[in-house]
Amino acid sequence: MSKPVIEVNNLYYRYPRSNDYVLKDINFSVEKGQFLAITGENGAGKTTLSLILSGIIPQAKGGKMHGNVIVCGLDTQKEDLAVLSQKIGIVLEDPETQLFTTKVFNEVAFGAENLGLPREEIIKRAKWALKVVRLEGYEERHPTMLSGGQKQRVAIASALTMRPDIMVLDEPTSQLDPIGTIEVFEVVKELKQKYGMTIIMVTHKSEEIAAFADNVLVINQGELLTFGTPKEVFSNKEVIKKAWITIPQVSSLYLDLLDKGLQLEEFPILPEEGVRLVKQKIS
Amino acid sequence: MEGLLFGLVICYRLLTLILLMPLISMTTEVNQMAIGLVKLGMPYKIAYTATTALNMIPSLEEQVRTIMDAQKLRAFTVFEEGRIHEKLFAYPALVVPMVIGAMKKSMLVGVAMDARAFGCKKTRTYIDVIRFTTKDYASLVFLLTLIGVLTYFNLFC
Repeated sequence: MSKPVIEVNNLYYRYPRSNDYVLKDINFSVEKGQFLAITGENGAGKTTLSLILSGIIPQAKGGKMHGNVIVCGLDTQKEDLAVLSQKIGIVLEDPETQLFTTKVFNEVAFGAENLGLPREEIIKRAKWALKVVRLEGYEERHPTMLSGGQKQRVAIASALTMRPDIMVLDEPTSQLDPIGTIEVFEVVKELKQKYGMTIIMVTHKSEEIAAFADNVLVINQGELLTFGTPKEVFSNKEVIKKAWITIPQVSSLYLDLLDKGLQLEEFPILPEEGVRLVKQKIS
Repeated sequence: MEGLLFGLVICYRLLTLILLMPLISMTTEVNQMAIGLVKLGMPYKIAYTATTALNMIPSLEEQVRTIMDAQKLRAFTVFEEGRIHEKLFAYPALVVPMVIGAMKKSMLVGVAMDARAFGCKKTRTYIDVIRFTTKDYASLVFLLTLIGVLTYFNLFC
């Protein structure tokens, strides 16, 4: 087993001016090149967790944090945010608020400019990042003139210019239409497969978790409810009920069939898989 | 009489300033304004905070429109049909959600800027280069002459 790129040990966190811990006793680790989905009810602490991974909490937002979070061997509580941002990039939920310059190219270059890199290097990186997210030719556009999917891809490109090893995406598709969602997932898939990046994605969309994630982490009221493969998690009735997760359509269809007495070899989470298993059963 | 005139003059001066502001933001790109301010010696954190705030004005306008539409949908038509004093009392219903929205938004923008290492280094690079060209010198000379002439007339005529 390779060494984990993210290690979270006994993590507790509460926001400033609050007495309640929003995250309690969280422990998990992620290996290089993995796709981890984080899911759970609204207000369960998913966004807080993704900001903790990137070091913004507690460094920029304060609050009380116990335990430790190690990203690429760096302690997120102590390491300089400039150094951390080159290891772990973050894309936020709202496509509007995370773009704040007047040109796509400036937006993408912003992070690298803050690092004080040489101008030629920044331009090279920004061009590369726009190519990765398939937005070449959009350099001079105003970010507000783009579609939701394009805005989120600009946000991904903006994180990419810092050349991180890990990309955290906090519900990147929750405000997008189906086409925008597909665009974003295509790019994320490529980041993982072609560039070997580790992906952490906060999402509610079970179909996408089933299709893309290697592991799922379920948070319920600030506590880690379970950590496992999508198949393990979606087939666990207790967890599903407790954390209010929706399961993929094919899985809920199977549960209905199971009630009627049709038992398949495995618990299906992908449509193709369901078809294969049913065909197998019939023949 | 003199007091009244003095008041009017001050009033017009302020009005000129306020009316000229949109002209600046329409003709100068916000990013270039920030770089310009930095070149004039302003710390880049302050320059960017100021210009990012300018950048948020259009989205604030949009937010105000959304709030007003939502109010109209619930038959709240004071801003269209009401009398002045009614409008005055109705403003908190518009301003409070707007301010809360703006505060939330600016916090999110702050997070997005933190995530991209804003303010982590003492100096930063700018990919946009602004230079003082002949045009700038020409307009500077023109402005200085104008100020000179006006001052002369003010003082000696």
